[in-house]
Amino acid sequence: MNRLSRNLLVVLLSTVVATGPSTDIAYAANTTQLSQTINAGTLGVDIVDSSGNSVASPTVGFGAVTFSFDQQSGSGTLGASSQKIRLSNGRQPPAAAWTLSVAGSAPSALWTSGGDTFDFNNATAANGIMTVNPGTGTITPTNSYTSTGVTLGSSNTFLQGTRDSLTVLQGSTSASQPGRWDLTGVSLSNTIPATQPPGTYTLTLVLTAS
Amino acid sequence: MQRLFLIISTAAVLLTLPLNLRGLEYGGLGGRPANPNPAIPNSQNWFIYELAAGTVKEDAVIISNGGTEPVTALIYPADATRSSDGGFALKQQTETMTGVGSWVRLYPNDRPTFAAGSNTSIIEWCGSSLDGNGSRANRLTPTQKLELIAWCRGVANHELTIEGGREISLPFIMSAPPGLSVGEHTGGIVIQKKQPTADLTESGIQITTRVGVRIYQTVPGTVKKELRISGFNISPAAQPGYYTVTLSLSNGSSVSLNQLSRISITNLWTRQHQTIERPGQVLHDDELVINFPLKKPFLGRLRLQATVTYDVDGQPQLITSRIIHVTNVHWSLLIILVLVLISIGGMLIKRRRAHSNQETTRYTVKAHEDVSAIADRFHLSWQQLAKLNQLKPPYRLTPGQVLIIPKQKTSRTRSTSRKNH
Repeated sequence: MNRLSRNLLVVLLSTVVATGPSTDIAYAANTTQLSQTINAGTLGVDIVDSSGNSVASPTVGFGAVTFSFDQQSGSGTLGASSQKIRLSNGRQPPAAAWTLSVAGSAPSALWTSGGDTFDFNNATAANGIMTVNPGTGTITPTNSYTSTGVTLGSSNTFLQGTRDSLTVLQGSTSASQPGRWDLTGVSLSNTIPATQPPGTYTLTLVLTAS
Repeated sequence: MQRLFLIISTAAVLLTLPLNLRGLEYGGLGGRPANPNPAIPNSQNWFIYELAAGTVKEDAVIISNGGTEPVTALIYPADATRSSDGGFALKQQTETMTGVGSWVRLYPNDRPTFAAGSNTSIIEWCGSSLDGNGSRANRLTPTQKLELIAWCRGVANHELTIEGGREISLPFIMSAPPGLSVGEHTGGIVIQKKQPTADLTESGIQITTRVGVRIYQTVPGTVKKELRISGFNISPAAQPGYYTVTLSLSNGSSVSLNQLSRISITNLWTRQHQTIERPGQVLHDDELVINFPLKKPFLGRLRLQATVTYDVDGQPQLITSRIIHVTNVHWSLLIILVLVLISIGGMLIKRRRAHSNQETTRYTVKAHEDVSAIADRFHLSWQQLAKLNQLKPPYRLTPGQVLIIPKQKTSRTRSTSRKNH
């Protein structure tokens, strides 16, 4: 048995070792087949950490402000480096358009702290309006994809019943499919009514990929 | 030794192969149509129906968890809603559904065992079981009939937990209500991730993520398809060194239209030309806003125009925007230009000062004086004096003629004369 034949036998033997127990080396070596099904991918959105792991309860912190007799503003950043927005389009060509939008958990939702509230989508800034500016954001394609055909939405404010949903990111049919992009640095700001009682106010926003 | 190394390394490669393949999969919650029709474009991504009013369709959505951990998801149909910039969005579960979101019913549960035994479609099965003439219906007790009626009604939403790497097929029935208007009606099936409530120690926002599988239901009929350019502008972008070109397209028809936008950009100074293309869909009764980032030229005057093509019953339609111009000079060039202007200004001021020093006075010619004599008197050459006074050969002067004499020279003359005296 020459060196090549010996090595081939070694590979066949190790194939048997790897694929499970067998009683007959010769048969196993000749008939081993590997198969793996990869299902068609889907569109998805998630908040991931810097390692790409899903964040269990993603949040956006709004810096603390001090009680004021005047209207003031709080701000935060949607898509920090430790909580990136990851848009994954695992669908296969031909490409289909997609939209990543943000909305309140309900048009009637409010910033709430115990019994105190203020608005995020009021027609009057003095009662609370949130501005979302995706233009400050950065799109980072992952793997070897590009940002072609992927655009940031325009800066806009929520307005109950009129603009309940704001576009953060859009993919056209010229965007990579499949493709995956991380979005960071989308600025959020919310006016806070004058004399708003102190408290830890929270609000839920929903990111939708469709 | 070499043999042992080969065994271990080959076994290691084979053992890790399935893991590598799994790594190619998409990780996360998602959904897609279970029964795409290859003849219908995009039916592998979206539910695309053409149902007449008063008809129903049975289908299924595949819900997948491409991650490795189990995920609990809330599944529900929702009406489409307009997002800013013309994006497709879906209503929240808390909102009242009046369109597609109210026409879809989910069937997550197994058929009641007392009435099992059929693998026909839900529509047929429920129809034959409940119409009173079906053999099954006649054998059911009143309680079983009520249970069957409840099952056949389906549910509006469903919560399920999917193991990592698994898929679940969830049947549903889509109904096009009687009297539904001709044209497109949109919505989707939403797969929303259920997550624990965040423990916020400061004011902030909790983020929930969800995915929607779009539903396009079109009631056949004659519809007018018309697209128009409702805005075309350029403005400085938040990112330094870039413009944002904004193109807005309005679709006043009752169906979504696919379009191809082309922005033609020419630098009129450098003659460089580029075209940006952006295909996309404009939803019915909506306005699509497309933002193009455009790098500012180092130096140039840009001419921009958009052309949009879309299809109406096989006939390509073309619409064009107004032409807009924008001039850009890089800041470094601006600084150079300012410095040059400052230098030129300085030179002009200097010359003006020098010129002001050379202001003139007048001298009246007396009898028997000629050009040379007067020039000598004022320390000028006769040619300078002749040129300044535009005297022509033979340069004769007449008494009483007034000559212009440079002031500097006159003062010098005065001082000289004073010295002479």
